[in-house]
Amino acid sequence: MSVERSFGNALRFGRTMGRGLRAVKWRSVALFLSALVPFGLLINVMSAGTLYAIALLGGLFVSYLLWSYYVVERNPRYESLFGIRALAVGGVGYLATIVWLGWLTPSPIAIVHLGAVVLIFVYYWFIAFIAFFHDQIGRSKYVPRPPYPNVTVLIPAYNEEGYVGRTIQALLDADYPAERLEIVAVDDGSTDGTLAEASAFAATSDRVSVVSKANGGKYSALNYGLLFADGDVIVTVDADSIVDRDALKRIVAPFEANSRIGAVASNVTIWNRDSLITRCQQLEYTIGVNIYRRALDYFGIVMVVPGCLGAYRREVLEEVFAYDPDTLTEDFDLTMKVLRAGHRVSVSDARVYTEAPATWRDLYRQRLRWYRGNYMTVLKHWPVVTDSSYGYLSRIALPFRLVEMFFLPLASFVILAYIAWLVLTGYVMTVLAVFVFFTSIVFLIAALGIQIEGEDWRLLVYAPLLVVGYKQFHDALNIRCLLDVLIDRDLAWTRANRIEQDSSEERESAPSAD
Amino acid sequence: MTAHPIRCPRCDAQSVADERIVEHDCGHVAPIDAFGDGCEKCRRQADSETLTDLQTVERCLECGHRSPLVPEEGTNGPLPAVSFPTLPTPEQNLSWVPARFVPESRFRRGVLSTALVAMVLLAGIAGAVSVTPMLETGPTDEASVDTDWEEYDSLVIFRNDDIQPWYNQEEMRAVDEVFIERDVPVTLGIIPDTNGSAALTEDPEFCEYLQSLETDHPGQFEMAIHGTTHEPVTDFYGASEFGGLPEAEQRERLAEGEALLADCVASPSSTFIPPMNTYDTTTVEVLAESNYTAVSGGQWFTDEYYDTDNETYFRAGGLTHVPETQAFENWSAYEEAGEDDDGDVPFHDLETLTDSFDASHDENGVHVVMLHYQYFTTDDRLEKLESLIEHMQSEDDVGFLTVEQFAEGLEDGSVEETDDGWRVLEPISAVSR
Repeated sequence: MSVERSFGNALRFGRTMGRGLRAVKWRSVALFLSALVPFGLLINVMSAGTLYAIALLGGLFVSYLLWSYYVVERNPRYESLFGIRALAVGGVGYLATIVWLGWLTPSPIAIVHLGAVVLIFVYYWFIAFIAFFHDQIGRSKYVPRPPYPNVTVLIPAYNEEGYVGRTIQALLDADYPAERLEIVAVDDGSTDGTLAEASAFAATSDRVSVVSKANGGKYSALNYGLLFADGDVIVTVDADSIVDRDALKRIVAPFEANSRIGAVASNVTIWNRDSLITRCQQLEYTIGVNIYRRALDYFGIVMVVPGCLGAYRREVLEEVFAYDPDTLTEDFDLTMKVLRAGHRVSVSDARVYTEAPATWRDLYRQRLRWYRGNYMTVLKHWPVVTDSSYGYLSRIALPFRLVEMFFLPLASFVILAYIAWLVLTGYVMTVLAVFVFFTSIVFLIAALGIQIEGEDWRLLVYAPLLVVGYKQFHDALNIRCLLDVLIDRDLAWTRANRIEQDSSEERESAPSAD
Repeated sequence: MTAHPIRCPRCDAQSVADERIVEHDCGHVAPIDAFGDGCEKCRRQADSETLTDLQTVERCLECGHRSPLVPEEGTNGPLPAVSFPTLPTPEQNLSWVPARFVPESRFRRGVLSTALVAMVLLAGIAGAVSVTPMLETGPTDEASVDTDWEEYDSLVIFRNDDIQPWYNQEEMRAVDEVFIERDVPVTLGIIPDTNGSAALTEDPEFCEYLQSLETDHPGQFEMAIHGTTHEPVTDFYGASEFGGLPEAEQRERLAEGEALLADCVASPSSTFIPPMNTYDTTTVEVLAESNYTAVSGGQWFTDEYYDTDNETYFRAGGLTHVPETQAFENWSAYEEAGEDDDGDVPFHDLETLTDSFDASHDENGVHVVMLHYQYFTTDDRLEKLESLIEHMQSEDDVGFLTVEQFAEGLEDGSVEETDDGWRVLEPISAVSR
């Protein structure tokens, strides 16, 4: 009898294990672990001093993360201890220590070189690992289930003729209970046929209403539209975006699962992938935005709920007084306000399709606004950086963001100058070798992102441009925007032209609501 | 607020009134009534200067529902035709593969996707693996060291020949220790397969020792190839392993030696030290093809073969020739009288060695000292080497280099001859390989 029972237990255990193993996404595991090879090789060619320096910084970083977890989750009494300021002091002490121990020769190149290597390690083994882990176990945690909440979708629109109708139609086609869905298109004083196009839908569907106001900017349109919203969850959709059929169900699911979640981000996908520049942007979204967002989701500190599709609890929006006029990236600013109010911000698998700028000029204009807005927003919320009471936001999310916004663009050009010097002094093959080596790491990171996001494998062809070319374009733009913000230049909205719309000077000069 | 006779579209109550919506400077949008006590968002005062009219709407006083004012005539046109672009979906990942190559069954499509992942994975790893050896010799770490030009009156190069496994290993380590203690770089002339019966790779302990020298004393020990078997294969200029042999045979011999040395040390150098100090123009051609930068034979030979006049270095055949200018051993005495009382090849006396150096130093020359470790069998002999180095170091402004550092430095400009000596970009070990 006991033999039979043991056999039965073993069989059940075997089945459970079998189910577990079948649930593992082995391709992601293989891709993630394959990076061990280049990292192993990198360690092998490093000098002992560099290796010790990285290990010491890794120790400092892990201690900081563990301490952050302890004070945020277990013992907030000590939250003021070993925060970001102490970490900065620790960083200076660390530099002094490794110079004193002879592990680093103090020079700008050596410091940037060490910083770059450390960031590659951190990015992969922290950010990519959490995203990978999230993908393995976490994606199913927000399964859409009835009852679904009452939702109001706000569509701010300025001169979106030819687009806004499609956006509304995609929302009407979405798989969401009709009696719980309300669509409010906000015409922000358009000078084209946007109002007429949206009103035509309002005339045929009682789920759609259109409100109109004088032109005032996207923040103003959204704040105005909010007055007409009856839903418990407010979803914002850009007037040029197309939501996936199950996007609404997916984006509201986290609210039902966790009452601490105040806002939910979506997964942005570019649909016009017919040029090098739009494919580069998709790869950037796949590994730079979505993977990063997935990692921060683990801590409930997703930093940007994208304007093209995002959702908020109504009471949270009202608590923070919705959108402010003082930055160019109102989505980033609002997300920061939600996080500062103590709410979690999560990411969902709701997919939204958007049209990416198709020329370098348009990309330049779009990113000019984004990067200026990013710097404006970070400076606006600067007190959070030094206030440890904001938990993971000030301890993890913002430090990463600051490194990304302030260190990386500058470091990129120091490294570029160094590479130019190497080439001029005859080390062409070494430069090529370094390029191939780092491209192979980016290649594997991109492959992991593509596997996790279910993206198109052809995008991998563009991975080298994320090392040289496309990357420097963005770094240069970041530096320019940082200077613009610091010297307080007149920072007007800039808007990319659309491939399905003609450009007009009038449209470009007015504040836009998309 | 003006009451209307119309009914609320939501609750049907007949209590709809106009409501004026305004925006405060801080961005807060609300009905004008909400600003009675100032702005609830920014707590600042709200007046006609800080408030902007946005719109007037209808609001039900019963249920609070707001409706926009009825749109103007003409805004409600026919429903526009909407067309959607082709949207990428995760299920279309193989859409770019020609249809005839996409399997019909889901399982086979999965296998195809997995194969693609495996290819990506292998491509990424292969890319990294293939360039790693180039990274190892790259200047990434070294270039971060601060460098500075140093002026020297003369340069000294030590060349320790006949390094080989098994034979007199204690003596070999003792000589190396002298250079380590004095912090003087030295070029080791390593025989890959002595007499064709002592391949380097057959003595892992020996190779590990050489590698430890490379790791523990970077830039101090140059691992140069010293022929292949070190046998006198021809009678070219008395005896030679390479000189006088056909080109193909020289190439083959060199390749054999290179393979063994590459398996034994981490960074074989680009210097060739011909056994018996002799080589011919064919040797130089073969070496240049194999990317060598320097050949170090004997000055007695180069003066005769290249018709030079006590040149301590010169360019010929695409290589820098850096011949030995002073042997530690007294080969003339050995040829005349054989071994000394201890049964070893006799050494020059210290005075001869120091005088030779002094002459070179006075002429701002390059002094290349050749020695053979196996003859340093007694403490007295080691002390003679120490004394010579001590004498050299007692002079101000003497630079010590390896053959490779000197030859490559001349090529890349980190070593320059000046009117009154030399200038070297130090530390030369960080600048060169």
